[in-house]
Amino acid sequence: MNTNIKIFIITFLSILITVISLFIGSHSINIYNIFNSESIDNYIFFNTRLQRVITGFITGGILAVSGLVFQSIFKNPIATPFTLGVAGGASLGAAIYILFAQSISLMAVFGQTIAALIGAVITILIVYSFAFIKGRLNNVTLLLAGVAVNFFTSSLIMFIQYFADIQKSYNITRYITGSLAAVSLNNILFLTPLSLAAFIIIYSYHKELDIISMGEYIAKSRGVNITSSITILYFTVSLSIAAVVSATGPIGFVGMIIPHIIRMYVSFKNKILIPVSFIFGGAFLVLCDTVSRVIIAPAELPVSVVTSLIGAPFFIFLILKTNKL
Amino acid sequence: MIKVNNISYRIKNNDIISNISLNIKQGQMVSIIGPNGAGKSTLANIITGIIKPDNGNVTIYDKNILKINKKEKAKLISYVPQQVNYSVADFTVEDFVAAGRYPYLDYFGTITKEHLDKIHYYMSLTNIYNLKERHISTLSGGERQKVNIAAALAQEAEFILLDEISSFLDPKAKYEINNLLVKLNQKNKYSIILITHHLNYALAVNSSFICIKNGKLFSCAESNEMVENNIFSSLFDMEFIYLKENQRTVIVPK
Repeated sequence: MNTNIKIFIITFLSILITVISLFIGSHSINIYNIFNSESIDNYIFFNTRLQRVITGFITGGILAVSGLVFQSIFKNPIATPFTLGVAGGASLGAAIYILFAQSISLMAVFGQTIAALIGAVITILIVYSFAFIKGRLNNVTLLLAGVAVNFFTSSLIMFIQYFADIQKSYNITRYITGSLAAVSLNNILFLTPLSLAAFIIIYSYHKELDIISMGEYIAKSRGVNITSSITILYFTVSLSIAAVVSATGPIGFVGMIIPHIIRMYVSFKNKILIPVSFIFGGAFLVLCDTVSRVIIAPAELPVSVVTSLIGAPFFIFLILKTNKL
Repeated sequence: MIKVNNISYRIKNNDIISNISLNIKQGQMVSIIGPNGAGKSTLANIITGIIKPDNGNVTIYDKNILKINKKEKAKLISYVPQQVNYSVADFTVEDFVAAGRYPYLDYFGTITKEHLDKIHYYMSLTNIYNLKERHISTLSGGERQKVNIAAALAQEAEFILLDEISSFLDPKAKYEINNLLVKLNQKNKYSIILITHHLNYALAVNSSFICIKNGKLFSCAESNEMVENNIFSSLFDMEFIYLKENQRTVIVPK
């Protein structure tokens, strides 16, 4: 099948999933009522559903593209946006905040987001500073430093949870299990321009990403400035992941599987891979979030549970089918 | 011309390369040989500006290779590695070769008709045009190596350095690559630097030799001198027999 047709099908499916998701939930929305300002449908649509779907789409898109970039930089098919410890740092920041926060209020949610963001940014800087050997960026060291810092922050979180009281420990667990339930309009206002900027920066490096993924020596031979490319991509991806994770908590699997699906079915070229992964990643997370809202309605599951439950078997199916990563 | 001026390179106080100076002229076909661990690959990486020596420098057309803009350097010297990593880079052959055009692309990376013609030209030159749509993972070792060479040629650099490219090839693929290199050197006037363990291979293409032993320059000689003075034996500390037939010399361990 022609690549353009595949791109068209995936884009069409993604838009369809996203639009349909707007109307499905513990309260189904009738499309004829949404512009009737008297109706409950109107209220739910504009005050919660729309915000949640938009945030879900942006979050999924950023996770997918970030996973893609890390897989290319490290030439490692199982790299994820969280491999370098950003989620660990964010979770640690949130856990420390929950431990010391006096009350659970609206202010507390905001404070927790800020604490998570600070935790993530500190981790990003620490991991990056470890990655220089003899004044030269070494991306194997970058990967190892990220993995080590990730383990370290995980242990600190367990340590905090062990000594926190039941309620606080539960709140920490709630954060670590990523979810879109707490998103608000503020998240959208914050995430939209940021993800747009991140997308433009990452896309402008599509040629470099192609060549870097072929191997370090090839990239150097072709004249790619590896240190500056990886530095810019690392900070762009890490900071956008920090922003997303501080709002939603870590949501797994999207960042790892979406790039593979697009590679298997559409193209290995980042010029195509980056935008298509963003769109499909966004739609996939919206779909999973819809499932999480519906499956045990009126209660809901954290979306990260659903992404893994749907994602893992689907991914294994794909591997068996194509027999390659 | 590439000039290597008195370079040294150390890893944790071990001298990997010590005080090597040599010249590689335009149009030359030269093989860098020596025992395992002699420092051949390190030397190659320093020549191509991939790693920085602790002392000394490398100049290409009188410019320090580490100080030239990276894309400009790519237009002067290209590098063919032993293997390609395709775990997340299983491109089609055409896309892979197209990446060789990187130093010439504009900001948006547009592959113009002119670029595409060159990409196809180098694919034809290396006999891989028929593999155009295939993915790297589906190719044989020999085909992959030709793709690798085609991508380096698409870089249109006068100097090409090939690192142990024949290691994974069967005799026929080796023979084909061999002929391709001779053609590129004699007809297309490329300067070719081979790093190799395959002495017969280097003799067959009638290259000049740069012999490295224990990180030092052991000797520089032409094919016939290597054979006549039995430099191979002292380089590898073992005895060889030279078999001659129709102007060709084949070397085997005694």
